[in-house]
Amino acid sequence: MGTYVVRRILASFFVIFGLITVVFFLMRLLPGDPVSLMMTEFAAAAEDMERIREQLGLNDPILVQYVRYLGNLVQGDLGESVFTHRAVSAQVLSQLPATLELAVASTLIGVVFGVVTGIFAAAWRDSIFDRLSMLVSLFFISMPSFWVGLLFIYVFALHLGWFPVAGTGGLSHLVLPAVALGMRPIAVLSRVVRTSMLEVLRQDFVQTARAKGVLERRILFGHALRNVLIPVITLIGIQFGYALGGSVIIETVFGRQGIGQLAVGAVQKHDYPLVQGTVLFIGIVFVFANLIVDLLYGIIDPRIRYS
Amino acid sequence: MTVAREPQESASAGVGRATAALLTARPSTPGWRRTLRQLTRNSNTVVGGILLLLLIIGSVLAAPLLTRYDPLATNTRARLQGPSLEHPFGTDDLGRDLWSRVLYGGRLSLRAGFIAVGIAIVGGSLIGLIAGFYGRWVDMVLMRLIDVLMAMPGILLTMIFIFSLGPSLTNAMIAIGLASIPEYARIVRGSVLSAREQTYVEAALVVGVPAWRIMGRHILPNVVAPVLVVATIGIGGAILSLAGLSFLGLGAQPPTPEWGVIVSDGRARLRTAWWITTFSGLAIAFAVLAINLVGDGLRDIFDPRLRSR
Repeated sequence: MGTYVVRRILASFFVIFGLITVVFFLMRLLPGDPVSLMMTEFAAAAEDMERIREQLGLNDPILVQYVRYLGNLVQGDLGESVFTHRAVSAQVLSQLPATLELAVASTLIGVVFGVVTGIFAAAWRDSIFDRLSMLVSLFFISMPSFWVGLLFIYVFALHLGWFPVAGTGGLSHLVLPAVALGMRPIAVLSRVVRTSMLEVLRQDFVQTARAKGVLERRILFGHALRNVLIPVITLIGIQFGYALGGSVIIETVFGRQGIGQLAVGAVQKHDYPLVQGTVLFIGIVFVFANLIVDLLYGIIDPRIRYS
Repeated sequence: MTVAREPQESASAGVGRATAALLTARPSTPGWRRTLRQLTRNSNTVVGGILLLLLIIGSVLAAPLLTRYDPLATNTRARLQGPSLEHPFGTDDLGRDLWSRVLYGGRLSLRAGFIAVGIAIVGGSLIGLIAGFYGRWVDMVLMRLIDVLMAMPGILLTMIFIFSLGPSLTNAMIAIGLASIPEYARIVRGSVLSAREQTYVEAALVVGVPAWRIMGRHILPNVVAPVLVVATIGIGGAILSLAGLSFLGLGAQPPTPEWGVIVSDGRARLRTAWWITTFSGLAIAFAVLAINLVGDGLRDIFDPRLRSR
């Protein structure tokens, strides 16, 4: 287990380094001069643009910029926002908890409802519940999350008044966005759990258990569920990433604080360092989430540690 | 590091397995006839999906026949009207007919979905072919790059591209396509790697057939099926992404009748004019649902292991 953990952690750092490098070069080498894009709205004078370019260090050779960027990064310096002049790292860190809260909550909702639905769909195969839940789940996957969010606001906030329309705060502010973002994980997980469950239920040990007269309930939740855990955990990692990406849209819909909303604002305003910082940070959070998933694998399934 | 990004949309968790199974399973009866037969024999939902998709494509193409309103024409005397016979989906705050906006918007969204996936397939196939065929360090470098690109949620990669290209419908389409390249590159590479092992490829190499010819004639056909499945579902994903970007103001710009733009138009009027948001969102959901149903059907055909029993 020790070497497995070390290997995984090293691999994660390698990916993070790659992420830093790729984001850096993508943002510099892609066509479109960031400063002139940023300034279109103000019709800025040429010397102003030159000054900002100088300030951002965009006139230096790209490798010099890269090394300087890495150097600053090691010291936790992600640059400062072009408009507010606030440190990017401080902004990102202050917005991170809200996004994590949302991503974790929606993933949790997805896991709980998805797994339960999947189990019963498999147990009552071809029943009305099975068919209906699979069709509904396909619809869940097809709905745009921002639209679901707006419908939720319309019904549960504007009409019924059960939840606040927008903003960040306690649990009441979290429910609607988390459920809107959780619809898709529910659907994906229920479908996958159903398929894997059906596969497991056909195996010999399940037949044996049935022959021995073990209660169906125990077979489902004891014997079979344990074997379904592996695909579920893989999906948790993937769906967490989806939630992080989805936060970009959902936070805007609900006027919530968070990195996603910060990133959207940065792209809209062409705030160069802020875009780079937010993208990088969300990427790093995702890498860590996957690291945790990998480590969980190792704990649950010893076979993986040695491959 | 198993940093996996979900192949854009749908319950495509079995894509890896699907690819693996595809490479071992070889149809015995001529491909298309068999496919057609299975597609029709397949469950009702798939047939429903095909019908729904045909209905949507048909009505979108026939938009001028189905509505007499210009999607951009404003009418101050018909502002914010609810659904009626005259305006089935109601009108927005500028008095534009939403039924025609949604119809014409469908043209944009569907076309954008196809083009974005097209870009991803071309780019991904190129990279995947090169990586899989040449192997060694070429493969190593390209695949590490792909790993890293897939280590961030897709929408962020898309946003980086939009950041440099500027927000517009065309650029959003290109950005979505570019950001999906890694996914296709990985699938194509996997298929190429196993196709490479086939004796007929070795034979061709020995005889001295040029590399590009081997790739085109002998390897590419093996890649078609897995890519087709992912691409179908990918079109749905691209439509969703485009709508999302437009909603954020990073895609199509108002007054373009793009679905995401219309949903966004309705946001400010949510309290008084629920129909603006509701119908445009339903259009997105049903279009993507139809595509996903067809994609699921295709996967069932090409991957017998996952066939719904």
